[in-house]
Amino acid sequence: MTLDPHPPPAPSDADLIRRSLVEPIAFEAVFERHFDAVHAFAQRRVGRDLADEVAAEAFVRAFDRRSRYDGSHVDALPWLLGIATNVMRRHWRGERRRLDAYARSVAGPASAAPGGEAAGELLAAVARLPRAQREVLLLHAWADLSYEEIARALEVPIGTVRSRLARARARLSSDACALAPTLPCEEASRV
Amino acid sequence: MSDLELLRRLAPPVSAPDEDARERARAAISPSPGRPGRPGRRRALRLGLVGVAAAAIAAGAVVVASDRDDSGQAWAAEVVRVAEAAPRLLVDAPGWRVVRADQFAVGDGEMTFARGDAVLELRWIPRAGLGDRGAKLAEGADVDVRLPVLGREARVLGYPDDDEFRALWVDGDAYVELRGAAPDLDAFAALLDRLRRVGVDEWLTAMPVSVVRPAARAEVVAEMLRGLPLPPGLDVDALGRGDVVRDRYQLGAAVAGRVACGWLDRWAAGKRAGDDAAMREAAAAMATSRAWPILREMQAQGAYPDAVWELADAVKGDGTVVGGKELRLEDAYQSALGCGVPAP
Repeated sequence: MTLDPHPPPAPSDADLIRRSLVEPIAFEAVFERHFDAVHAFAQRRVGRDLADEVAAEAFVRAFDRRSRYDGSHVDALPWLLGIATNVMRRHWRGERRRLDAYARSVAGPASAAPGGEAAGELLAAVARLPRAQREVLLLHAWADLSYEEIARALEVPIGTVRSRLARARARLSSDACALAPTLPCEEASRV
Repeated sequence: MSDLELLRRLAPPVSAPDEDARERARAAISPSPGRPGRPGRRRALRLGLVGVAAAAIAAGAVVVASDRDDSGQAWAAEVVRVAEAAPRLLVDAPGWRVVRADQFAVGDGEMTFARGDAVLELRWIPRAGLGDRGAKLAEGADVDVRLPVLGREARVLGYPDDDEFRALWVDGDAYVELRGAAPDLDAFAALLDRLRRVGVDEWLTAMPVSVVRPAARAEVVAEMLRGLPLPPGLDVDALGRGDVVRDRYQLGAAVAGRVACGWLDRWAAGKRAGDDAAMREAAAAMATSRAWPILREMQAQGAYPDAVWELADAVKGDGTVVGGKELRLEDAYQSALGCGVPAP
């Protein structure tokens, strides 16, 4: 048996979503590609148990809305993370508790996390951010989305993403610097 | 190290989802029958059997049903019946307008009001279907107060670290929910104060421009059909009639879908009968679909045109729908385009 030296390129997410309108099962390929990433982002924010529920609901909502997917974007992950972000809004309390607990653990003497006490203060400051700012910040820092991808994910103008991120970082800077002078405050205030 | 870099490094470690969780999630979106652990059979059946037409309709179905008749009655009886069962609320403040109205039926509907970036979402459902929604919504709320709204008492909920408020109240047989962002409770209460109940005519007139005016329906359908090859037996008059009107996207899907379904019916029948001429005629008609103005207009708003074009490509060949698991056109087109769904 010989291998085809030029296998056909894998269909893009946009191709698969379009295809799923005719053949719903095609959406499973989108699921297989991105479920772990959506689950991981949810896990970071709301914990492993809730992540199962959040990721599943995000994909159900995505399936329901797929006829409105903007096919000019070949990568559906930002769209899926945006839907997951919406789903997670109902878990704000758990997320805040989790962030606070995580902040305490990384600041503890036994922690191997980078940043030590400053890290703890930074996470505590993240927990205190307004929801809209925290969403943008964590999509950027923990899901590695670009400004443009965050704008797509949250369906807001890119200028709104920039301003929310700027406000979030300014707030982190003032909160965390007040409590942890080891943080590079001047740098942190720049966007 | 900047705060952002530190935050990146502090991303909590994650582990892969376990297979049970993955399988449950997969089953929830899978239309294929018989998977173990399926959580939502009703939903899976709906997704599997109804296909794109239902998905498109669920995504943006509308709304207003009305017509002016020769007797001078402003709106058709069905329209009035539907409107009378709705709370018929508008925001009586400068700049606020209705930008969306979805899934509207007797006693069940949604509307979105907007002014600039500010948005209010109104939902009403039959009171009988309320369940314990109020109690569930109140979980975690740090604002839970009673405020007057339109002569009734609304439960108003707000949440810490969130600028969204919700007002819930009962209006006759309807349970009404209004939610929107506001800087504080007073600002949200001020918005509640601006809600006004209006008559049927004023309420229907306030519907967004995306809703095709019922009186103009026949004209709009004729415009949408312009330039399209009409399949034998298409009832153009029936498309132009009816009390229930969808927004322009949905009406466009119904009109273009009827045309495409007619040609694909002809292709499938020709294949069964060995009628090559019928198949060629249908394929030639479908080959023009990429130039259909209504599909080109709809392309920017959703994927219905892509489904039509994918099927047009299939009948250009041997009927195999390419791009994924191999499908035969005759097994796929009706669910894909909603051919079995009655015209609106």
